[in-house]
Amino acid sequence: MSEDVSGTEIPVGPQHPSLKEPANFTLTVDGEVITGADLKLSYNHRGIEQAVLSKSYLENIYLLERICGICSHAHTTSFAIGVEDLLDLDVPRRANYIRTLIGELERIHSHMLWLGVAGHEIGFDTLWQYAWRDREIVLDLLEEITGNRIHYSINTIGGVRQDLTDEQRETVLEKMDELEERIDFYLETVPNEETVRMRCENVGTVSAELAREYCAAGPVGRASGLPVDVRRDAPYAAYDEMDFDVITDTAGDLLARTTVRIREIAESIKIIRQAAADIPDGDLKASPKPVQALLAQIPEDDAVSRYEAPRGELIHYIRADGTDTPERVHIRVPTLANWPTVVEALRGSYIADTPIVVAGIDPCISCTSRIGVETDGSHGGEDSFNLEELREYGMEWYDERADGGSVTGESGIDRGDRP
Amino acid sequence: MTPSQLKRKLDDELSELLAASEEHDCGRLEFVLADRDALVEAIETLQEMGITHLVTITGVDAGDEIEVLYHFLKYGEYDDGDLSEGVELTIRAIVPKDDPTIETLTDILPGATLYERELMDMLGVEVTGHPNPEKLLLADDFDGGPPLRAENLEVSD
Repeated sequence: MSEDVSGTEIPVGPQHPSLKEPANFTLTVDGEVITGADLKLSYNHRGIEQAVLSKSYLENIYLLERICGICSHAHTTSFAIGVEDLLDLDVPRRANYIRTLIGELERIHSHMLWLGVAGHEIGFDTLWQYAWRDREIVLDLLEEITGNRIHYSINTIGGVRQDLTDEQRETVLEKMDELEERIDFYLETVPNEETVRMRCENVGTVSAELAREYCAAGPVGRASGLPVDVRRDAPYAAYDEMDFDVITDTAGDLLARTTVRIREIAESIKIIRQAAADIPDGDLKASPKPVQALLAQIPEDDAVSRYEAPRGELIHYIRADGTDTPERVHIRVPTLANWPTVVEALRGSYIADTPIVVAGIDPCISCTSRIGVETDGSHGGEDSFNLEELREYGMEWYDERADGGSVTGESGIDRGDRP
Repeated sequence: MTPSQLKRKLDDELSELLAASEEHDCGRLEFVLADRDALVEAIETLQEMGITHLVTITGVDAGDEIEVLYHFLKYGEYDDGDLSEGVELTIRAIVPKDDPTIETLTDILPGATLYERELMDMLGVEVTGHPNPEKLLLADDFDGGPPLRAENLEVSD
């Protein structure tokens, strides 16, 4: 992805107070227009894929949960389903409903977090504060059900560790009414708000062809019209019993990614209501035997487990060699799948658009670079921008343009298309 | 098209390139290449059949050889919010440890770029023809050897 493009280079990151995790972009610019971009991700190497190999399957649930502080349930569910597949365990329907419920609550909290961050990146701090306030509704529910706000620790091999009480079901249903009102409000206001339109419409466009070529995942792919959603194309947990729509858009710009995510929250509310209202009675685990006894029977085999995490498809490849530790666990997180689209979307965008274009895929660097650390002193020069400065620059730049008239049309380049 | 139908069709299309093929209980299809040099041709055949979505590339140290697994997805049919089931496919190529190289897919499949860099970092498989074979996940000055090769694994019990 690095190409030799002559021009001025602007290093962005890796330390920046606005994106909370380290990533470095080297932008090549011609005036205000970005002509090339290269990225470095490896500032956060934690060696998890190697560490997994020296831990038992049971210990690995807790290790893998810590890959990410946002989509922790995604990792444990995906891993547990893969191991259950190897052991030929049938997870009870009640446990599947609980997994689905937690998974959708997690999706809402992740999308709301993103909405806030996106608002902040474009200088719309009211939206940031509103979105994060309303996100607390979901976090409170997660805490009430699982005891934890972030690392829920509810999954185990063969099922879930905690039940959902009738009282909790009622609370969930009540809170969903409250949240739906807020989401309706966002759905109506955000895409029509002047600041949002100005900063997001036709910015960072990823065309359908580009998304296909780069195999984009999740909301980024769907906003460019890709028909991908694991909940439907390979249903797991209780999704085959749920009624919901897969949201897509054709515009492929930041505005489309924003509306796709907000509409997905509405679909998640639909799923949560069904899961809470129709949860069947039954066991929480596939077998009354201790998990260690089940795991002693693990065969030499491999399994691929796919999961629709909030940011897109998460895949765990698990190979067992018949011992109590796995032979290989490979994790592909959705952010890695979407990085190439960011690099392409940056090309042709203005420097001022960088923070929101980068934030547009909802990057999770903790997931992506779970395996690497890097020290590169070559980017500490005086010209280096941190993203906070760049954010300020972006807002001022657009303010000036807004005072002077049109933002678009001053440059003839076709944003988002590859040169 | 069901996974079984797709498998029959692919068995037919790829017959000269395959050593084995299998349909797992969950519907995942797996094709083992007879020779790693046939990789690009096999992937081109998949693309001609509309299977263009590469999910990831997994490298596994399997003793004397390294297995490289290309996970693909055949999209489900989409109709206004409704999406049907897709098909998962794995193409397995075998790379001997004494000559750990495999050809790049980036010319025909740009989405493979980062996954190939990950493969180079973690398993030490050289991807020939890659446009930017820099380290992706490991530090530039990391010299501990590919972390997922068996000889570099630290087992602590």
